[in-house]
Amino acid sequence: MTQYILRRLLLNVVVIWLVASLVFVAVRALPGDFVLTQVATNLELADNQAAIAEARRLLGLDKPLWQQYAVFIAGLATGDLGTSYATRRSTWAELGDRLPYTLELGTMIVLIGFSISLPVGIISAVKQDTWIDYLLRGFAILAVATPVFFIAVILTLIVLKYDLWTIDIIGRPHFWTDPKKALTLYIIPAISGGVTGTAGVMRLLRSQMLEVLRQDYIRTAHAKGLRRRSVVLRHALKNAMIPVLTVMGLTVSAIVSGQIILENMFNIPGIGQFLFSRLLMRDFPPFQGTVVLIATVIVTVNLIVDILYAWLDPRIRYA
Amino acid sequence: MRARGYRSRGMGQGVSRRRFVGAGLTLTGAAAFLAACGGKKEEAKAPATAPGAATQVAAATAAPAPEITRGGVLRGVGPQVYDSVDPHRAFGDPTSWLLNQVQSKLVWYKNPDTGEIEPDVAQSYEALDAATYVFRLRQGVKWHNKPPANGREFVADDVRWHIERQATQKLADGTESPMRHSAFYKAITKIETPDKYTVRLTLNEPNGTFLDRLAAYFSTIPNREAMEKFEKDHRTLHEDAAIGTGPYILVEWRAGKNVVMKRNPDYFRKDVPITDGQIWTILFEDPNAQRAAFEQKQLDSWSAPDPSVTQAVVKANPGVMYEVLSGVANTVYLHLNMNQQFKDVRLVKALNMAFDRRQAIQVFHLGLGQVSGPVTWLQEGFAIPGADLVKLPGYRTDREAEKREARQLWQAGGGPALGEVDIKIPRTWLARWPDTPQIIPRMLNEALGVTQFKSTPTDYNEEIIPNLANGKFPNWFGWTSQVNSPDPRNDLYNNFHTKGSTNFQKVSNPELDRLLEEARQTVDQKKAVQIVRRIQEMLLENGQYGNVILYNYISPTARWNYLRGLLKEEPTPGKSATGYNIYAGHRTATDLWINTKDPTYQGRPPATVN
Repeated sequence: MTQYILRRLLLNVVVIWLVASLVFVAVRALPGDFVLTQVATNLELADNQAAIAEARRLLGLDKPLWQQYAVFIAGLATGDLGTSYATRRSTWAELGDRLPYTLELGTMIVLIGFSISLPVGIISAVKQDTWIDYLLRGFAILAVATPVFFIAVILTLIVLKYDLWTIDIIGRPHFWTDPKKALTLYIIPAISGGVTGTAGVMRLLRSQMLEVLRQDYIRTAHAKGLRRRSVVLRHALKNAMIPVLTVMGLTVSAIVSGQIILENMFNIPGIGQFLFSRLLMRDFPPFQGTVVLIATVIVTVNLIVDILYAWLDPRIRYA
Repeated sequence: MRARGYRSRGMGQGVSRRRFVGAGLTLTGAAAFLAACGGKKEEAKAPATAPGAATQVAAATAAPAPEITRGGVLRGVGPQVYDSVDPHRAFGDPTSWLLNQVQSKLVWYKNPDTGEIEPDVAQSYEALDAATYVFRLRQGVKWHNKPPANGREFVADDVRWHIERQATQKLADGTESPMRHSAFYKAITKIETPDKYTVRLTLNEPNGTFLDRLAAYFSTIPNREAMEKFEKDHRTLHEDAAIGTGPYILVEWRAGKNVVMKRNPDYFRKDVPITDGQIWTILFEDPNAQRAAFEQKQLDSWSAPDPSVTQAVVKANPGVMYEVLSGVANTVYLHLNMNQQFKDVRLVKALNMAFDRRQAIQVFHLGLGQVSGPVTWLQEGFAIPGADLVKLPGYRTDREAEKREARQLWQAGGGPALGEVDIKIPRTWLARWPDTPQIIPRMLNEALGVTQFKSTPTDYNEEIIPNLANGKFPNWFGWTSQVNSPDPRNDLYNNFHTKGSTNFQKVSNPELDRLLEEARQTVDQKKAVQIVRRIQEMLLENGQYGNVILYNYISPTARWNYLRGLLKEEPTPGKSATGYNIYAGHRTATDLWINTKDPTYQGRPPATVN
């Protein structure tokens, strides 16, 4: 097991390096750079060239690409995710401001999403081919097929139309400073993200449950007189959750890494909004650093999920 | 043809900017609050334009202007990024937009669209001639009462430092740092301060537009002590770095935070600002967030990236909101390279007539816009009046006559022999109007009875800008300049004078040179207008030398009824309000106010600035 974990860790480092290299190249393949999009935009042409050159020099954009790459990778190796061209703050400082918002939204999405998707998946399987199953399956399919922004817009319009509450869009409240206002802000994106983000889990859990419920040991458990609830929750669910857990792990890491659409729609200054705005203004260092950080989170969560497999099912062993 | 304005192009995705802070700040954009201050840098839509007249759009239902009530906190959308706290060293506009609320200028625009100037921190001014200006400062003007200025008096030496620092581009430690407007201040050869309240400036040559530049939004005077304190760290936002003598004091100015300003109790104008403060929120350009914030009165005004959405919201809320129409600073041009394919002026004149400006306004902007002559209609004081413009080739409403003459000129100039003509379209334009490559060639081919026009995408920064100076730029259609001043004389000079810094068409016409010089050197506004009129006629006779100005469009901003002021025309039943076209953010303190007695004020979430 230890050997497996070490091997996976090494592999993760390679994956992160590949992601870092890819994002470094990809952002530079985009037309324009920070100086052209943000600094040179207001200049008289007569001033233009000298000012652009000076700005490039100050930001290190005048260096050859390989040097910029070396600086970037060397920084990553020491935990330095770079400094924003726009704000002159370190990426860690920027993320520090934004992480709480993303975590708040992510937690809400996860809580709402799984508190809907898990019961739906289980009930749908247990009540297979009844009207309840059809209803819940229909709901799950609709949730999978509907874009998150669509649900968010519809919910917002309903709130606006009937003046249900004030969505504190400009106040940027936290749950620990003003829970009531925070709830007004987060509830719509959390429902929208929760329903669409975990719809796949509903479908997967249902199919896994159906498969497990047909197993001999489940029939045996029933035959031994165990209560139905106990059979479903203690014996069937635990086994059905193994593949579901993988999906849940990825879902959680994706949710917590930032909801670009929802954060932009509701002006939540989280990591998703940060990423998008930095990309628009070609502020490469924080964009690169954040992408690498998200990749690190995802591969780490994956590793943890794989390790959890062994814990859930002792038959699984890693050579 | 100017190179300014790619800010709006870049941020015109909702830049826009923007479109940004004039009850319609850009953003980039973030235009709602900046739009309230006029000078929108976004685009718009609506019904068709009458010849030479701005389009009227959605019905406004607001009541006549009530009596001004004091207090309240304005809330709008601010820029997301400021590149410096130092107005001398900032190369982006957002810093200047903000500092217009905090710092003063020697003079400012009484009417930003006509260019009428009046003293600001100066008590009075006098142009002894076009090269000598004397400013008598107000006495007893105090810098904001916080360290390091601590409320000391504003005196002539502050003006001297402001000018000398920019002219020399030297910091307190002796090092040099690029300053955006250095060239302008270098033209001041002598600064005399005979007493604490008098500044006498001598220029290296007569310049009748000198005051215009001093009145512009980028000419605010910062506090020396604060600038020197934050000199090494000028890119880090900090409220204490932006000290001025202006109407508001910065309470918070930090990266990623809302900008908060409170009333300056020691401001030198009595009973101003009208409001207690302002909050510029950082609001991402997502229309859902902005719309929700506006509809719930968390923003006092709002301008959607899609103007039809703004209008729809106003229409859906009759009696509680009104619409403000403002011209957009981005000017739409047809650039034809007279160094290369369009050497014969008849070809350029043919295209000037073949291009159907009104159709373009209708197709791209739902009719919200107005045709522009060589001086845009935004610059009211100098533009050819609409009634006169509509009689000139290229602007007439009789399309058949325009097409007939255009075809004759095209044939006479050897147009068919040019073969394929590619009118490039920048991708920033295509992002908003992707059908343009079909529309423009079809319009020109149909008008000229040919099949030789086509349009392909291009990039400003890759194909156009790098090739301006060498004269190898392509022909293109799109945004080009950003109208930042009501006075067009400098731009005309730079674009068309033999020695003009942006004379990329290599125009060399001695008579035109003489007129451009004469226009720039006069301080007599009436005379300047007359000369500029003659210049425009000459430009039209020569097809605008390939820099064919087509039109400027109009953007609607929605306002709650409780937000009042900073308008050229108040809304009346059935008619929208009219806002300023050119940036008027400096008038926020004196003109913009909140009517706390208006019924719509009820339910507005509270806002504080302390």
